Amino acid sequence: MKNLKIPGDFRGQALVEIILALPILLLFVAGISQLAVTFLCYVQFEHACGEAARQYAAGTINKDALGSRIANNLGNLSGYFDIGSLDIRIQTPSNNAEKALDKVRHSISYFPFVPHYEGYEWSISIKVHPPFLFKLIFPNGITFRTVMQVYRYPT
Amino acid sequence: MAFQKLRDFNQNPLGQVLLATLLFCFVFIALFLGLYKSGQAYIVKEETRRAVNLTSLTGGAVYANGLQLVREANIVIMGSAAFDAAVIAQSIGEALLAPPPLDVAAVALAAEKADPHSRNPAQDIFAAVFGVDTPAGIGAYPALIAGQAYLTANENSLSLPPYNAYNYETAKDIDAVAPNMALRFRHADEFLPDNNVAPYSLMHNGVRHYFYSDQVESADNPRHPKQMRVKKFSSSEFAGWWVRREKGGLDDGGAGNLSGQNPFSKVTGIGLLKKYLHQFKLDITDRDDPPCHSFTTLGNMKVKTGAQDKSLYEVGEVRVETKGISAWDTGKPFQIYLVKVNIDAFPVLRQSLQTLRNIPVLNNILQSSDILNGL
Repeated sequence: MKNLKIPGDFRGQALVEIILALPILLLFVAGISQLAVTFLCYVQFEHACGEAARQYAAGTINKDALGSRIANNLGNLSGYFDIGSLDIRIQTPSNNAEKALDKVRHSISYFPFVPHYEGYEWSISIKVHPPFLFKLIFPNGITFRTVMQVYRYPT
Repeated sequence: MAFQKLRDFNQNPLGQVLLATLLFCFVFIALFLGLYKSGQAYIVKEETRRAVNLTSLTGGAVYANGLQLVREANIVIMGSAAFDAAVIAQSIGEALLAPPPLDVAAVALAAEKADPHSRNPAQDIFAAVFGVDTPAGIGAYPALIAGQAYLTANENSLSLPPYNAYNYETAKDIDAVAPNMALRFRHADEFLPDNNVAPYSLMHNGVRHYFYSDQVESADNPRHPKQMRVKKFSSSEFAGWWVRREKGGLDDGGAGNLSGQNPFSKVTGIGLLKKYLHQFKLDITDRDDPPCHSFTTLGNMKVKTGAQDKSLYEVGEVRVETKGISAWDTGKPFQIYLVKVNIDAFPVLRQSLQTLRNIPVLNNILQSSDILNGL
């Protein structure tokens, strides 16, 4: 039996393997980091909405300023958001009890000297331009949506 | 046999590459999944915190609205009381103008007889509306606070029902969880000044309790930098409660707890007058002095971790502050703000919930809840 000898040597094998594997490895690492960024964006959006609602409840802003305050509260991650796509809608309450209370509050507001609390339920959405890998999967961006309700005593 | 085949397969380079690739994929899939799940939990935590804070703020807004209504109710009550006072004054005028010696007993009796009690219907109505001097402070308006908070919690996607605490800092047992506004009726004797003997005091349910300097400590906080409280880890039943600095109070360095004593009652004449005036119920006032009006929400959202649901709990507390709820305070503004929850105080809430468990109907509800584990 004659030994078969493969011409050349194996010194470059590890290098070739690394060169082949590195893009895949980097792709995975980038995927993980970009997933983390996307999650952070969502948390920041939730936080920004909550903070703006808190400021509304504290009487420091009115309902018309909610959008600009949310945009300000997005902080360092605001680069990922399409601020122009920020959409704030006042929602009608989803259950009958809330609808009934709304009517009562509305009726009371016509009586002078009788105080009444006020507030809204907002549906807020914004488009996010995700980092490049997610952009391949979501070419039109990702839309974050949230609903929140708060009332305040008029100050 | 199969194991042997697998071992043989792993001996050759193709098998090794495949195994390495599989391991590589497994590690990254595990990483992705871990990140996804922890990200989900983080989002739910943020949503829970926001929902709880907004529910608390809503409860606080309705609460403040109620306190403003109390002020307006007090205008009606004090108007009626002024009318009653005028009628009484007219009827006892003759007795006062009679030649000396003054028959105090006759004057008192005449005043009692002449009292038209026109304030009583208003007091009865507002007592039912605001839960004043009712069992556990239950009333229509506190029910509105609870109802609005419940609906807001629902709209903010909290798991229902949320657990609310009312003025828990100065509540005892069931008072912390039963919807109430920490109110009571003021009696005429409270307008007479006390003879202060200690530098600090607090009032609860109309009884003033005095404390010396060695019984109190600083309750320093950004909004009330000089606030003092009864020592938190003392044996006093008011441990941790805020106290008011008395003007002209003596401090003999801890001659003992004067809780419950009313030193002025020792002066016979004034004591009798106070006792007599105590029967005249007037307007609605704070249950506590310093006043405590707070609304706390303990809410949870469920997040799926693997096969099981897990509840994420968050607590939000709002304080409602204003300078008085009397008729003459009507124009004064309210401050409604979120505070850092004093988690140490939650044994009070746990104790209150455990008291509720003794009530059979509520026990069934609480049995199916994991609230006590969440605290």
